[in-house]
Amino acid sequence: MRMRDTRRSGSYAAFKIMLALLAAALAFPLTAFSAGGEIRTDTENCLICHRYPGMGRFDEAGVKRIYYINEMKFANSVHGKLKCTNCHVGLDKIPHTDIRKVDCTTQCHLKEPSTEREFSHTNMVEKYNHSVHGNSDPNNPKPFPEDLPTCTYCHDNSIRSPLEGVWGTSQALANETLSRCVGCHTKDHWAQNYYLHVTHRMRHLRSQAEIIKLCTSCHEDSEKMSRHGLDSIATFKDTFHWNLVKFKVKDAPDCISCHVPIGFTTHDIRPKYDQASSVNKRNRVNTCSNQGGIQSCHPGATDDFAGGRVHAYGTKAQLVVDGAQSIAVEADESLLSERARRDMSEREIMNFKILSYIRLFYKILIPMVIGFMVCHQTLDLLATLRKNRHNSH
Amino acid sequence: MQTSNTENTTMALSAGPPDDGQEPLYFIRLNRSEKIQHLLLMISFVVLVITGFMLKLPETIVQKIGPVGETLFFYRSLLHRIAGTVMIAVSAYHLFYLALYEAGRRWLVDMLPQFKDLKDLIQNLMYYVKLRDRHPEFDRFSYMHKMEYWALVAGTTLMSLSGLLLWTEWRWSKFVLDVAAVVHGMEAVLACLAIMVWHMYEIHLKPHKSPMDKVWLTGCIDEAEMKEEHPLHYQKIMADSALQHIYIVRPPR
Amino acid sequence: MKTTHLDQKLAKVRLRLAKILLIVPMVVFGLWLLKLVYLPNVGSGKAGTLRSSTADGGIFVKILSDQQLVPRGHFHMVDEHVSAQETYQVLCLNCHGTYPHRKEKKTRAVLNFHGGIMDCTVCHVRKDPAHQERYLVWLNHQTGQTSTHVEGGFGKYPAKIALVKMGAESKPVLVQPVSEGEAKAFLKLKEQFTPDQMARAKIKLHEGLSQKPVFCTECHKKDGYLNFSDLGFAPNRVDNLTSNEIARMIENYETFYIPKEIDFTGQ
Repeated sequence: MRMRDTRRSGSYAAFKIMLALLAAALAFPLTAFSAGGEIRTDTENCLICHRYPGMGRFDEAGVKRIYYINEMKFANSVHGKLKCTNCHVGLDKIPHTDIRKVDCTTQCHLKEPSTEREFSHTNMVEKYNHSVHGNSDPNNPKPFPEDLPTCTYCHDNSIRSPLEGVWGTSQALANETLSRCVGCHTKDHWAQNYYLHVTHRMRHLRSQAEIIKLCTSCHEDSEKMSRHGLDSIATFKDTFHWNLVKFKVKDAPDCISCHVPIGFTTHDIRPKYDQASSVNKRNRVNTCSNQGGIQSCHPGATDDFAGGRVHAYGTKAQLVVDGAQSIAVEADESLLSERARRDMSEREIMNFKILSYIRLFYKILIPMVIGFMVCHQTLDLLATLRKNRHNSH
Repeated sequence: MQTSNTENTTMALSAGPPDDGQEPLYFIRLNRSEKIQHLLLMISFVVLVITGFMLKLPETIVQKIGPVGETLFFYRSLLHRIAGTVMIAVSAYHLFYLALYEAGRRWLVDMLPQFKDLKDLIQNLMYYVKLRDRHPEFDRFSYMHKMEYWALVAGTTLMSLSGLLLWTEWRWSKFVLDVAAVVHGMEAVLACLAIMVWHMYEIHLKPHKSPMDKVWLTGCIDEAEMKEEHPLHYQKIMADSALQHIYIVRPPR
Repeated sequence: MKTTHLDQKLAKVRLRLAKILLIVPMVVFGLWLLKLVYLPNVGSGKAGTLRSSTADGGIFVKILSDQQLVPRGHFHMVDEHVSAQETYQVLCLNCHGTYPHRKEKKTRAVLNFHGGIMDCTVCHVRKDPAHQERYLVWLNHQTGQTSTHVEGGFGKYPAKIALVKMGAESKPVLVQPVSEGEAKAFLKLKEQFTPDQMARAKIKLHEGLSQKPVFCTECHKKDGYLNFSDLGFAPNRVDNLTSNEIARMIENYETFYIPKEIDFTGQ
């Protein structure tokens, strides 16, 4: 189990023993988990210090860095089988002056069973770099690359989740299924691990509201979006889709329902003019009807229905209609105006105008009608009171 | 297909012309069919308003509902569609009623806008600002009734059409649906405000009607009110025995 | 006669009340409808328009609006209480935050983790002969209960070692480096101080602190500043915590390799 490090000289033996004692001494009643003795991820004794919730600091950029590791949660996480130094490579000194940023493409000494090669996330990272969120094209570098989300922006070390079965509680389902495995795979723990590895991927890990919170954490920032030539996504909240999410309806359409439907991957989201995008015109009907998925939202969707605009019209449409001259175009926004002119078809602009006029019509009609009514009824009230007073005298 | 108003009334009153002038007279404003139409319209309207504007509740409030939200949303959608169907059905029935029933045809004719209505409006406003001593005399339906009725007809048509479009969304282009959604929302606001300002005032807030004008339940009003609010209609009825059979009811002896 | 008059009056009041009950919700609903038409974005949780988001103050406004306890991009799962506010805490944390040690690169994270198991005052306010009434005890910072046992598990510390003194009704109260009233007065006047006044005020504010905090090796040694046995540590743990090696490690806190050969959990 334990690695023997030959670099060590005996002179550190005292410290090792001391650290062992320190760990034991500070060991508050330990979790039921390690009491079982089966799993112990921390073969490198990092938790000597890192098990304390108060461990952390503010870094030089003012970012709060939490160095606390919850052993239970880590052991049950998707990376629970890994050693700390599998990802935090080359970390040998205390204090950790030799720290390097974790690189998810690192090969982590696990065998990937299908190829029998050392596992790493290289495939996903490469895919991601070619996606709309990546920055792989040296000829066409993206402005403000620091805005682009890194792996950990979206991913945390999530706890492996059991399947939510239709046959009962997830634990009952797990026991039912696992009882078939452990006959041959005699190590319960291994079977459990394997099972969770699969079930973790059989459900949406985040609720719709969480997905929307994640995506909007960037896409709702109109300042950030406009310097990439994008509309703020706040217009999503003008759609009926949002109402379903707001009321926490099961299977309500969030961002990935349309942008990453069945057959697409979150790591490979493409811009809408890319034919490989799920929201590209030629894939729209499929996306709306969600054929082949477990959910069928608009099964009868036609080209006409699916071809239209889903998010409400936003700043871009307004920019094109107003014309660049009427809005003082700041440096950050020039890209937005440029993209607006490219992205908005004449027909879309026409539609936007018509909708705006209808809105305007009502915005004028309502105060006129209601204003007349209020005046009329107020006068009527005064006249009636006047008459009553007159009659009673 | 001929039905007189009196046959429809539910009140335990005997109909007919005044015979001796001693009995208090009551005049029918809404017959039974009209009362039922009004009741159904009213219930469906309230349900539609509640279930419709629920969608516009701010996120922070909806979050407080918690996991019940989904169930709530399900019944919201269902009730909105049921109430919409009821409203459309009542409106459709009303069209039949206008065309096929004697009482309906009379309603339609009395409801048609006339030049006199414009004159009444101006004169009434002048009365309000004390430029005239008396308000104009109204027939069966005053200009206020007519405005509300025709606004209701227009509003219901728009709401029904846009609602049906949204209900059958996959058949239409997204733009048509966008237009329908905007119209549906704006028209709903207009209708609610109009009902609250115009209609609620008439039946709840007007001093001598407070706390509520019961005509939507009883269907009739007494002679004094008739003389005051619909003098022209009163005169017409008193001069025509056929109309008396239709509009006048008396309590049993 | 009189009663009928009263009845009439009552009826009138009831009518008024009914009218108000009808009008008020209608007016509120009506105004909300108008808001939906004319100010659809206000209070709907939607971000502002293109220009309004670039507010003055830049980074500080952003910091103010950042409510996240765990920063976005933090990878490992933490417990919710990691930055949770506690009811019974020393006033220091109100200004200095969860991670008060910042300067010394080598020790700051280690010192900060001690903040998760003990109050600032344990090291920064020395017990001295002048203050015999002060003593150290485990104090549940949620409930205020004291205990002489080591309580809770990792990730769930209901109690911290705290410096307390006996208060009214023989209930132990936290020793604060400065009185609550004075601290409040300081915060209130903070903006009015000239730089020199501020410097003086800060010295006075921190007057209750010991000039030299209790250093690591003062506790992590035999018969040191902290009496681990009194705090409910088992004898073997007391031995471990007070072993010479710990003290030496801390003093020679330089290049240090993590030993990987020994099972440290001692199970």
